[in-house]
Amino acid sequence: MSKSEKKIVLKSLDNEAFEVEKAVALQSQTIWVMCEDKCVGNEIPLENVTGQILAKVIDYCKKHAVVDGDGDESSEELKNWDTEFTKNMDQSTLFNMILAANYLNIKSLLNLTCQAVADKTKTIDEFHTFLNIENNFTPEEEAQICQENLWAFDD
Amino acid sequence: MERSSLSSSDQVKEVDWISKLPDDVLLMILSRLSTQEAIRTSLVSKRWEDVWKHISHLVLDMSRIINCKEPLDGSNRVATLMTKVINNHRGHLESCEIHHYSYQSVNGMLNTWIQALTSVKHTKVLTLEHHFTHPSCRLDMDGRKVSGYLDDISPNVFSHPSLKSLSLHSYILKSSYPLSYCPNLKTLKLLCIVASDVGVFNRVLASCPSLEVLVLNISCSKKIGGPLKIENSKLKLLEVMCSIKIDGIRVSVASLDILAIYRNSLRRDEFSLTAPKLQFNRNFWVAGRFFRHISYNISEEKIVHEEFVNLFGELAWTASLSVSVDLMNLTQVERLRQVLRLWNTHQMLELEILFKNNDAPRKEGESCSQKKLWEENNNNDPFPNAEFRVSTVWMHNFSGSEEEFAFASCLIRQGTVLNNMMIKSTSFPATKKLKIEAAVAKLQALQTTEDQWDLVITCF
Repeated sequence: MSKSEKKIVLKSLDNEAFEVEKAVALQSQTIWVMCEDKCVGNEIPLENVTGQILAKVIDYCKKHAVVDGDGDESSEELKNWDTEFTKNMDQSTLFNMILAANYLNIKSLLNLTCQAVADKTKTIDEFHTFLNIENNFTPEEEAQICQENLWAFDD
Repeated sequence: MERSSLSSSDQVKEVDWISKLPDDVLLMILSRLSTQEAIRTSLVSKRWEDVWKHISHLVLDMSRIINCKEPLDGSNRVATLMTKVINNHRGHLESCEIHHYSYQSVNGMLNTWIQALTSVKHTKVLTLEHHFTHPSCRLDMDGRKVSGYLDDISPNVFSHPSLKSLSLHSYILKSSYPLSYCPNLKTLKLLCIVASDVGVFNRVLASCPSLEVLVLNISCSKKIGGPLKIENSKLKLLEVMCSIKIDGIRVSVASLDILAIYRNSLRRDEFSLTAPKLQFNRNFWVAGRFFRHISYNISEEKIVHEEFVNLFGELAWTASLSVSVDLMNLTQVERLRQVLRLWNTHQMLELEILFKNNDAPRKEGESCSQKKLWEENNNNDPFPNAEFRVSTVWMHNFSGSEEEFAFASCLIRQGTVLNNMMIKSTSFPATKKLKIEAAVAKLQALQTTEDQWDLVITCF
């Protein structure tokens, strides 16, 4: 295979172009299907992902492609890398990463980012504070919901 | 307002992004929470109120709220709350796990739950676990003794076409009645189940003709009625973990690909096995009874392999393994790699490898790339990986062929085998025996470095 065939260009919503190894990009089922289709050339437009987010997605895919390739890096290290990767993400980045992973259909990244949200939202207070979700129930509505699902609220 | 005085970057942080995600992604987040944490999100905001009602898996555990010493009415109250959760759930419920006390199996509640889950929710995977009641509350309202009987549920309750997998934990079966008609069950796990005699289990197994996966941890109160007979013609995976007061087990299944035995008090001669795909020489008894022994005929079938990983994924390190594989088949070799990798953190005690000589026509280029897999310069990609270690490897049909030799030498060069490599050469015709011994001599010559002196390569 010539060098150009091994590379692929991903173009973000805001027209930022990223040249990456095909093996890296093909972790996305969506891109894989697009490549199979052959109706797209070497440049793949991704209309739902901004350059800032796409760069992060590519970081993730590069890390995971390398590891699957030579097996040098232990799964332990990879896990730590994953934890660091999502640790300090602000809510809007995390949200956009989830959307991008969902759109690009990268299962492991979607799992990782959803887990990152789940880890931060064990209680309702955490939902309200970490995710800035406004409680728009009246106390009466709240009481009624509790009553309806009492098994989960009773302890 | 206070908020207007914040800088623009602070304002970005103040936005509720997550609630904007589509329902199916919110459900992915909820699926990572426990059932009660997921249900509690109904209080987060109106956006979240109904999202939990579409999660595909529920775990409803009474002991989360009350302990078994609670009076009867307390247990009934909590049971009613659990029914409410099932009724509030909308959409598809793929699997459900219920933990309950003795009262619920006699007062009809368990029956109601099973009916609702199978007939209304079309649940595919059902797990029921009975928690034993405290001795002081062993009487129900009519003064009957209560201790986990499963017989008060209606017959055919497990016959619904959507129900594919059933796990029962800690029940007493007075008869085979509750399980007398299960034509659609593909997976059955009977864990800590007691019956009066082995006939009950024999009738249960006979009423499950579609069974592919069977896990048994069972005992009888009386040792009568002959052996336990396992003859389900579609069975692919069988695990027998315990069988107390059972007068032998007779397995006769042509389709069986995986057999695991663990913690069994049966003697070797009490366990008869007729399974043409599992012709191994090592087993639970010779490998040393303390560990689970798994026999696995690796094949093209994806489902069997997935079941292996499902059932033994996290337990694998507690087992010794017999495996048959076609070294010229890429799919099978890849599966062997995945299986051995389950022992990543623990050294395997014993591995038996049987080589299958598959004469099926090969795709062009397959055998060529296969040779490459075992080639000497492949140190960058060790098989199955750099971490795997096994104490003893048994090979009963090593022929010295090119790919078998390459495979064995790869295990030696990598230092994968620590103590013994046992290769059978006796009982073969003289010419074949010579070829095997020549190959073994070549394998012994591979041991060059000092740290491999512990490894003994022996013909027997």
